[in-house]
Amino acid sequence: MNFQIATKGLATALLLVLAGPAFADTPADTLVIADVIDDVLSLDPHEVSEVGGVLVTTQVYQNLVSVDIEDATNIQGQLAASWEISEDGLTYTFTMNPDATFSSGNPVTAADAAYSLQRAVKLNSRSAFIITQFGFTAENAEERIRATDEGTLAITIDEAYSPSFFLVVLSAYVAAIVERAPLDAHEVDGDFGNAWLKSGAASVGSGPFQLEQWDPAVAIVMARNDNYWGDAPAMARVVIRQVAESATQRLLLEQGDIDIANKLGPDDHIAMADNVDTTTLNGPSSVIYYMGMNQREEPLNDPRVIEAMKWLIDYQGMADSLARGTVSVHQTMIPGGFLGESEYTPFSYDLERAQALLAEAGVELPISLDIVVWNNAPYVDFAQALQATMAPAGIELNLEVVDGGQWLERYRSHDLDGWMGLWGPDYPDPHSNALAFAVTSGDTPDDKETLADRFGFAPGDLSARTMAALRETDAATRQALYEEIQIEHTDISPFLFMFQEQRAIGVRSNVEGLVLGVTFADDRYWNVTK
Amino acid sequence: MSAALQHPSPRQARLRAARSFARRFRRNPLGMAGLFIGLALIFMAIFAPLLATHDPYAPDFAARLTAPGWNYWLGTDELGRDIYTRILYGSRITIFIVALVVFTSAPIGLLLGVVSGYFGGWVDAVLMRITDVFLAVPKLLLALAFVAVLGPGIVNAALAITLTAWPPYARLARAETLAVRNADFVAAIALAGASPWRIITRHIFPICYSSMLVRVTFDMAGIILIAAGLGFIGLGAQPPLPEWGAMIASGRRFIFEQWWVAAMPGAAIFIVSLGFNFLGDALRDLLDPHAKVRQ
Repeated sequence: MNFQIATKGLATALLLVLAGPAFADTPADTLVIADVIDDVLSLDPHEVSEVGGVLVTTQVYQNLVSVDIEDATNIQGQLAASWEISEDGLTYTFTMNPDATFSSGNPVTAADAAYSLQRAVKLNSRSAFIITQFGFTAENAEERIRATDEGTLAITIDEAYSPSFFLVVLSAYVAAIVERAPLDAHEVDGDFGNAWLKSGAASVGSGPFQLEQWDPAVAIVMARNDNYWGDAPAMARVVIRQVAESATQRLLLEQGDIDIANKLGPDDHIAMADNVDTTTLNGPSSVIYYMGMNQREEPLNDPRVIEAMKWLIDYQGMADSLARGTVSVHQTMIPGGFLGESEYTPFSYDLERAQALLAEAGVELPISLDIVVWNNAPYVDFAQALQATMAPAGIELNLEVVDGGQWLERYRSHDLDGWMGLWGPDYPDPHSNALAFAVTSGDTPDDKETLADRFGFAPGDLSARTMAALRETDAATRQALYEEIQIEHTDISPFLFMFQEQRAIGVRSNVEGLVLGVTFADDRYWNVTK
Repeated sequence: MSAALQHPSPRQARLRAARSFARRFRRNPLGMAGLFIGLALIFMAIFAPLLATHDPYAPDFAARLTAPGWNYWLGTDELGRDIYTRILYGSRITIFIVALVVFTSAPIGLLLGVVSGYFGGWVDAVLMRITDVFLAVPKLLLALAFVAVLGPGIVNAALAITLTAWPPYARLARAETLAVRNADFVAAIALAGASPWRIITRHIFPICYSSMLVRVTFDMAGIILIAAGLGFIGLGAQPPLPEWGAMIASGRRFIFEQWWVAAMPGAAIFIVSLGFNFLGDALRDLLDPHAKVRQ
């Protein structure tokens, strides 16, 4: 046996296992992205809510309006050319853009737009709450969302809000406009073509790309939409590949097998700093990392126990050493960069203070809590750091490290002590986060369960005040209201806010024109050249 | 020549056999190496607090991912914890899992095998078909399914491994029993009025012990590997426990730059598994009655 041949063979086999099929440089007209897409369950734009799915529908579908990525208060028409708001603030009349066409070549009509929004309401998926909060139900959707003629769409909402709020929500992924005719053709048992569309077999949007293929947990392939009514993208294909490990993404990026690595850990960014072929692209992110404690459970229903836990986190130490520049300390519910942002950061690691609070609460120590954690960096690292800093005060965290599916399931089940996770806003308005963290279902217009309900949080008058802030039409007053609400919320809520993500992705140096999104999965690939 | 020397008492005979066994074992260098590794593992586990240089659980962010050196002999992991100390404490988990699996699966296998072999007939058919079912599914896969049902954790992982580990023992014990069930000495005891239970526990069990011992020693390496495998995919010990497989899993992220995070616990698993294999090899050479005849 020739030892050298054996070693080489083994090394090659190892590389193949690590790298998957090895390509040379990616083709000049193809953008290859490494990401984690095993959370994608559906590619129906009115059903997606996972990071990977929203990233895809952002490239494929368009909305009536879109939000300027530089300035979230600047709302631009996309499929709608212009709009008018009635005196009472209840009826929005959109004039459709006559140039817009679907990937089939057919024009985007007001009828399609009305059908799309009605479909989002009637499908009633997990993300439907984003638009049903305006009082739409399956029964009234057709009456309140209607095409008055070929090019005019009239929408009536249930109460007057700050006008920018409804428009911002219409720019969210769940309000995507789809073409009606092919969906009608593929409808089975009144499912609005959902079974056909969710499988990723085709797409019926007007965006720069169209869906070509989806191999679940392997790859998603998008092709240029040749009937695109705007400037045609330079890339003929966009491929998103499942590469779970940060180290593997880095290896592929350095070899030129991929153009963009979306899930690189901080250590890999630092290790690549000297490589001239790659650069790190920084961008804003509104993702907030937090640990939620379930206040249905003893002794978490004692606010002093919750406050003690907030004093038992080494926020700065974790941000500096574990996350190394990929997060900044953030302790309120609205992310920095949004209207209503607050720099309130009252908590730091203070063992004595926490011990005093626990003594005052008179709880029996040690307290043992089961925490559900996603088996993914950085969650496991964060959870272990908390475990270590809380133990000296007598709070023992037992980590249940589970995969993404189980992690989400446990969080919806109400029977856990604590949950380590993240929250990204669905649309760039403070209400997206405020509704989740501070409002209980009794105060929501559609009576849907919120994040606060999931963790058994009784926010008192914060819930009503948050809804009042939404109705405030003056931006400066609204900002002041949110600042007040947040300070109180940070002090009393069972959410241990820790960090806001600082987005950093790895790209090949020749990649230009990539626009990073502002919410949680709205990066834009259509202007990319390389 | 006295009568005592010509007909040694059973106790003297056992003592003599043990001495001869020890003498022959010492002549087997690999066996000695295996024994040494096994004893070193137990020593590490018992004296972990004295041998440790750091706290196995307390993170030290400043020392995150330090290379092996004077202060941290085997380097530190992603939370700045000393890997040497964690491997020491991890040996306790390894021994706990191995012991739990061995002390549960070997008796179950032995009992089922001997009962099956001694009674034969439909008892044999039923018990052996159940054994076949368990043997038909790959071990790790079966353990995985059990842990998925029971929930992650060390004890559950050990129980899951037990459920997959007993069938080979049952097969082995049955084969040994079949060889002696019609022997004259068994017939003699039965004629003397002994109950089946007494025959099984007092006369057939001891015959199975040596081959079981060999098999168990061999299996220890496999048990360690399966336990590490379950830890690696997050179904075994939960953080912050320093289970070796889980340590490798967390080091995977840094494998290009900070190789020691995954390599050190990997080396520990490798050495211990190798040690048990050596030990099992040596024991088989010495205890296998068929091999003895050939000598």
